[in-house]
Amino acid sequence: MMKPLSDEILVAYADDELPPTERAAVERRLAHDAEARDRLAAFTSTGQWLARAYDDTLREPVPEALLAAIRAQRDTTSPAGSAAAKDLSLWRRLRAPDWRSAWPAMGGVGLGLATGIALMLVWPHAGPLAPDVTLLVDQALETAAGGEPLQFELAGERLEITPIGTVRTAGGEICREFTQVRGATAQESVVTHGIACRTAGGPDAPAWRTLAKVELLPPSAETPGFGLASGAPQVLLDALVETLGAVEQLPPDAERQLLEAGWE
Amino acid sequence: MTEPGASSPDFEDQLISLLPRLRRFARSLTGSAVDADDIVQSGCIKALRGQAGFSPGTRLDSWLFRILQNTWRDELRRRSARPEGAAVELDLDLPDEVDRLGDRATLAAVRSAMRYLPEEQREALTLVSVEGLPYAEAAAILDVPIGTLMSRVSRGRQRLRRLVDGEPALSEGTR
Repeated sequence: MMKPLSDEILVAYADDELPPTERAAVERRLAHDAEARDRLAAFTSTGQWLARAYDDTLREPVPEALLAAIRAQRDTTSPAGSAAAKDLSLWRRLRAPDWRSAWPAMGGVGLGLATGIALMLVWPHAGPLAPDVTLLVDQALETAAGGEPLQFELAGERLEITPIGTVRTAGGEICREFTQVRGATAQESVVTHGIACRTAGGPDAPAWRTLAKVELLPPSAETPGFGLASGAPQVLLDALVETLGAVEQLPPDAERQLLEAGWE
Repeated sequence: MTEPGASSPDFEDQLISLLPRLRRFARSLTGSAVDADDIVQSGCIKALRGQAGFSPGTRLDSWLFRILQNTWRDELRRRSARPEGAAVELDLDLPDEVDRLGDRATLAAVRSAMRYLPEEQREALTLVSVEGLPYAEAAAILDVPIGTLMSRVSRGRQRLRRLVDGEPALSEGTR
């Protein structure tokens, strides 16, 4: 009595991974072994399913935001370019059907990709932003094209603001996502990621109102010890999503036109 | 590649043309559209920065899969909110759905079931069965002997079959 055909051999047979002689030997044995044929059927069916299971993703057009992030990396070698390319994910996470699970859990144990994420939502008014930073953010969002970093000196620290994407909300509002890198040295820099929408403003008031800011911790950081204020971030995110509704990401051309027209 | 470290348009074009497959790979690996595009994005950026590490003449898709794979493993380690091996009750009523809706539903059930496999089985199935890589190539990407790969593929496929057939299942090592 021979040993039964192993699962490994059967799956390799199903996947056409056996050399011809071994393949023929397996076929001879399968002819007399109903139990092995049953096991083989499970390997064959699952192989066929998996080959097609993700076809929808394969056929989908690659999201413009992903291509933009890759091009941004290609088009620049500056550290600002990499910051810009790093993350267009804030909008996507807010829009995704499963965005709740994509965000840090209420207990603060969830973490963002490649960086820890500390939520500091600024809502509904831009309270915690220092006024001078607010003005520089405003200047950058008003004048810089997507992916173009603006650098400032602020109290001995370097401050770099890079708009990374522009969207139009269902209500016709124009909002831009941006990264902000602030610190005396690259190592000590704090990277934040924000969304600001353009308001009518006034002669002295900033035109761009920051709705949300997220602090990205350096990749080296272990599980951060901060706790999120009880329940608040979730509620605020809900409010943000509800207020802005569906957004449409603008292609670079449309963004440039708006920029040149002063966002009106 | 022209000179080492130079940004090569060729490399970038090839990478961009592989994006649909990278997204499929990531979708299967992570089980989530949001996570998938996140790891594709950070993986591609790593790849563009580190393109000098790619040996021309070898498979670019395998090289990129490996980068995405590591990106995802890092991310899981970071999350590791749930202890390894924790049992999770499967809350899907798969067979009913399958009977009702036929083929599309079978594939939806397969995608759901994939999320309940242990990570190492899902990795192996993603490379071998979703992406159709030869066993040797997949074993090299995962850095395991080919026998280990075969055993992960066979156990993963059996478990997947049982899940889709609706065997009430406790999964182990899920995330």
